[in-house]
Amino acid sequence: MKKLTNKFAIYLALLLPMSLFGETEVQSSISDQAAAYLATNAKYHVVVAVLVVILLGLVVYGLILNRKISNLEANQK
Amino acid sequence: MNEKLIKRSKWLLVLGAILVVYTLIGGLLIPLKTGVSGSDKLKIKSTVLDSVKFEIYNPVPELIIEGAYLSKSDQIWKSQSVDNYGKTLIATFDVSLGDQKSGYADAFIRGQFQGQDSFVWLYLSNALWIEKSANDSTSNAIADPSILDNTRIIDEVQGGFPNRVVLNESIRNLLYHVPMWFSMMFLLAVSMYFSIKYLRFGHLKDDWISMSFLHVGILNGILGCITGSIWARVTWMSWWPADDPKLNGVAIGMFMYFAYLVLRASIKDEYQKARIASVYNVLVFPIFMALIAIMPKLADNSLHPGTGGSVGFNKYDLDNTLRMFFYPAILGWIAIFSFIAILRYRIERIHQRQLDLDNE
Repeated sequence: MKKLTNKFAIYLALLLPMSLFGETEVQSSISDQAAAYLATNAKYHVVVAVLVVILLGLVVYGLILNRKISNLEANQK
Repeated sequence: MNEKLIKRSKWLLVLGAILVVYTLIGGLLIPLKTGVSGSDKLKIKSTVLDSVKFEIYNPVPELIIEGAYLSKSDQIWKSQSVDNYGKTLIATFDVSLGDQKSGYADAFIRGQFQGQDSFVWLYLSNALWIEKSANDSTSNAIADPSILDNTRIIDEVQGGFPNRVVLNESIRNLLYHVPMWFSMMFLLAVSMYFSIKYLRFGHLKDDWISMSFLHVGILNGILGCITGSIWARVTWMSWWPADDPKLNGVAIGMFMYFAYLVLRASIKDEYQKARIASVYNVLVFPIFMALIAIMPKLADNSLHPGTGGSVGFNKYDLDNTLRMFFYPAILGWIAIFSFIAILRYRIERIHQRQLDLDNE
């Protein structure tokens, strides 16, 4: 039950802050400047490369986990 | 669930990863089409020579701008002159409304693309308010108001993702936000299918599969909320617009699924837990779908496209370039999250087997 309460608290912690933020004005000029900075310095490629590396890391982790679980299943049999 | 599918589930992950990497690279690197993102003035006065600075997003040298036009109530006024500075375009107008009243005018930037004979135009809806002067009695609109009918929107000839005024670069989030919901609906539907299967045959493994897919479906829902919330902040200026029926439906639906977790945890007996949870799951899924798909369509105040009588996203905003990445993104994310759900089921199965072995 404690485990579930913890899980539920995490879900709530993720969801509730979204509704608590106020309706403040978006400073679009800041995001425009950021976009322009990324574009002019070709930093988009760095962002994409980092995201791809993170994703591939997660995929490798998933495959390792898959193998470990397969071994556990084989041991149980 | 078929054992062969479980053994080969890693290929789901590999396939999903390939598709998602493809959408990640293409979805972030393909530029937006050229468009008008705004102007420095909100209002001009009629019969007064006035210049307006339009901001051009992603300008390309292939587009040679010929003129700027203002359109209001089926009449069109052409700019006196235009000076193109790449990312800005200064157009000078001398508008006489004649018998028309003050009001908003749409702006059209007209030009030739890649030396083609036909013209293309960039468009900004409700770009300027034209205030009527006291001495404005005769309209100086151009004689042929169908001038823009013979031109094509730049989207039809230029490559890249659609450039929309409010969405702008955030249109790329379509490849992450929407697939999360598609994936969630798929996983929850699978979960409900196995709940029905459990109620029909009474095998506990069907309940474990149902539970695993539901857990990952909830994770999908949370990711959909997070990506949607970031998108809402950029486009609607709020993290969570409180009046939107779709968002309210999602919040209610998510809490209904959280209640499923509480319900499961509150029952000790495995068979009783499985039976009650399965019945609850079968009941909740149609209600959840009604809350997120049917109710917002009936409401008239939703910000989401395709709801409240507005056109769907695919009517104007989803073009073929975006579709090349949108559909693979949906398939890719469904494959990845299905792999995670199967992994979750296998862990549960090992856990239950171990409990049985310990009891023996």
